[in-house]
Amino acid sequence: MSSVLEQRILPGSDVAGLRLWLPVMLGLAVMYVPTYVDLAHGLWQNEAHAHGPIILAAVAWLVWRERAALVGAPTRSATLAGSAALALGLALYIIGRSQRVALFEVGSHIPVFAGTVLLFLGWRALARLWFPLVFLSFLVPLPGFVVESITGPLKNIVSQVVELVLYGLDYPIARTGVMLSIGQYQLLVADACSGLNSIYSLAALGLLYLRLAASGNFLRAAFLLASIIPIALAANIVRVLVLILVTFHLGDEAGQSFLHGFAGMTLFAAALLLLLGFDALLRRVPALRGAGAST
Amino acid sequence: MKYFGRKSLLVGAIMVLAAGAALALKPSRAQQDAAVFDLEKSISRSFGDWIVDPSVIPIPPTPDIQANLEKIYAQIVSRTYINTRGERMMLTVAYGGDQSDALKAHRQEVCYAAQGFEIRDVVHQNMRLGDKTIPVTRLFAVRGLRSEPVTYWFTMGDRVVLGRLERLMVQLEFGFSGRIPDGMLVRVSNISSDPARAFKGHEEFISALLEGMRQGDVHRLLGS
Repeated sequence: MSSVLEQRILPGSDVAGLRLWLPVMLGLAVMYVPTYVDLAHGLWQNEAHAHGPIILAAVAWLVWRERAALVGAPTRSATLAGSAALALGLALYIIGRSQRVALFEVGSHIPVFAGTVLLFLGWRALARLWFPLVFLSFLVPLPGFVVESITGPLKNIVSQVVELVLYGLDYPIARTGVMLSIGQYQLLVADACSGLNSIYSLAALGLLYLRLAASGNFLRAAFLLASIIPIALAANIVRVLVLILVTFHLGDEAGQSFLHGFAGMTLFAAALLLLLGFDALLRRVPALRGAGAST
Repeated sequence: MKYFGRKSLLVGAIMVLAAGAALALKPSRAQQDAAVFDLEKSISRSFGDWIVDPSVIPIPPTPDIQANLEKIYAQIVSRTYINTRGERMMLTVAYGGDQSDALKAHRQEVCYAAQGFEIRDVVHQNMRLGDKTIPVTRLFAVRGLRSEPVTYWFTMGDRVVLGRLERLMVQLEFGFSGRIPDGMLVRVSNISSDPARAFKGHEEFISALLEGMRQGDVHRLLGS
């Protein structure tokens, strides 16, 4: 983090540099502010994409952090590549926004931003900004076929583990596919219990954390990245386990109120804490400590 | 001009133009007014050898599923028919006035799987109905002792579409000519452990249903 602290307020000559950006900023705002308003009313209310505003804020901050290096550095604009990327991005935006294809509309962020950077600052600046640009892809809604092909298998794993655990604890449990029967109750493991929602959000925040806290230490980053899916799965298995036990011991009504009280954010926070805890453990391993603390 | 830089102004202006173009290209015309037809009436309660089974009391879906359905579909007809031989067929027809959101595709194999069914043998086949051939999806859903062969298709705008990509193409084609496509889901299923025979039964059932129907309603179900 030290590099942030060392940056001074921009010298006067760079204010002119920032002014150069004003029309572009305005253009971007005219394009994307309505998109964000729509997203806030739609996609971002969905548990799987609730991290959207955080992504945007993080990207803005990451770019802002680099402002001195970007504005001050000598630039060689890449006009051809920049125009091409911008044209592609604008075409995607026009199709997506007018025909309500969120995948295109939101996806257009990446070529539009990349094209603008290339046009004004060139390849070196683009290389500096690779992380925020890649990170923007978490803003894009997961395509339906991805959701469908992942949700089913994850639900199966969750149901099987839950059955195994409760069977081991001598509960009267039986399973048909993703339908669990315990005592007189039948519970269906819903799509939300697959953990896909939390995996997507957790992967986004985990990556951001990695970039800020663990960049420079490849091994530690790899360990953390690999732990995201098991952690999200484990959190969801615990969620289903607790739900079933509450239902079995306290009745259907208690189970339902638990479901609505404890779902979503609490679970997500717990998973995030698990991830941070895991990282704290990793940092105790001497081989993984390395360059971890610096940015 | 010097103050901002020419390139900067140009790029900013192009972006504003793109935003304007997106606004101008938004389709506004619904393909047809959802109020002009009543699904409940256009699908007869008795046709051919079939009549709505009076002994089956429809069980409404759970409230959360119901809310989700209402968001997607403007009208839903869900009935169980019975014929003189005592065979039963379940028919669901759902109409959505605005299918332009790409997420609205309701693939039945996904629906059944989400309800705890195991899905076997999903196949795409052509079904002949009178002088038309329509591409349908067939699957065999099993949950415990209940085995249910399912035949379904959906329309987007004025034709039957199979996959997501096809839906997207129709959506864009309609959208750029200023229309909002509507959509219809037709699903027939019965309880049977013999899928081959059941699928033939579905075909005969739908043929009988269409025979007694007005031409306009047939177009709504099969595309024109």
